Amino acid sequence: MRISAEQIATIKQLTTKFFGGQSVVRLFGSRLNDNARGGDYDFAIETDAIDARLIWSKRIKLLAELSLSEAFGDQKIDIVIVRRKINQTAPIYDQICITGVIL
Amino acid sequence: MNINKLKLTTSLTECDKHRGYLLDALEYLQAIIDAHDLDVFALFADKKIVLRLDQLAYRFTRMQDETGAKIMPLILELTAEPLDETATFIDKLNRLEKLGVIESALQWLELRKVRNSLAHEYPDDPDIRFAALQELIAATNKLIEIFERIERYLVEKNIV
Repeated sequence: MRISAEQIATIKQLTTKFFGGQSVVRLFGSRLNDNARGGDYDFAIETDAIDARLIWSKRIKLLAELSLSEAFGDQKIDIVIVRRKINQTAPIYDQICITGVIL
Repeated sequence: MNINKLKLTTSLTECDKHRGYLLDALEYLQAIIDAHDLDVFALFADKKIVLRLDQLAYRFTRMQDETGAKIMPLILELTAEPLDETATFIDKLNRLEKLGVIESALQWLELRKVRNSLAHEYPDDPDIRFAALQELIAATNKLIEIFERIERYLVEKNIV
């Protein structure tokens, strides 16, 4: 997987800051492929939180703080939110959970 | 009139136009959201509403680009606060915050993230799509506030 230790520490720390200790962050997509080059960072955050509005605004704040971090700077990052209690059956989330790597 | 002032005036006029379209779209969408019989599923399937959502997203993006890529750097030049060539966008934002042109650099960065998270995502999750729309509406109001703060700053400092 193509992500540095510093980047892993940063995303984990900010995920916990905004979504709490129960949340899990996974890396999925092209950054898992060691033979590819460049590409966006695709993260999926799994949370017990339910309130969509609150979740979405935290996601925006997290993305803004990532862009201020030394580890990521202005690189392109996408974050998908999986609401444990609600989305678990949607096929796209299954796919993310199967192929994604927990950080 | 110096060239930078001329450029600034042109950009301000451009943003004023975007503001008009944004206020128009906001008024339309807010009335729908405030209605008692709001159906979140139907919202994203109604052509008339989708056109308004597109109007909101498009003008939001244009106004943000014009403000961030043109107006803000021009203000730094006109206030004799240019930064050296190696300055990053964050450095510029921090300088603008220090000058009082914007309230918060972090808030501006958050607005930049909103545009990349528009309502077309999450087809399986209407709650999240609706939350993204509400976030865009809140962000649009903030963007207009920021622009109006800039307008006041420029008048106070006699820049335009």
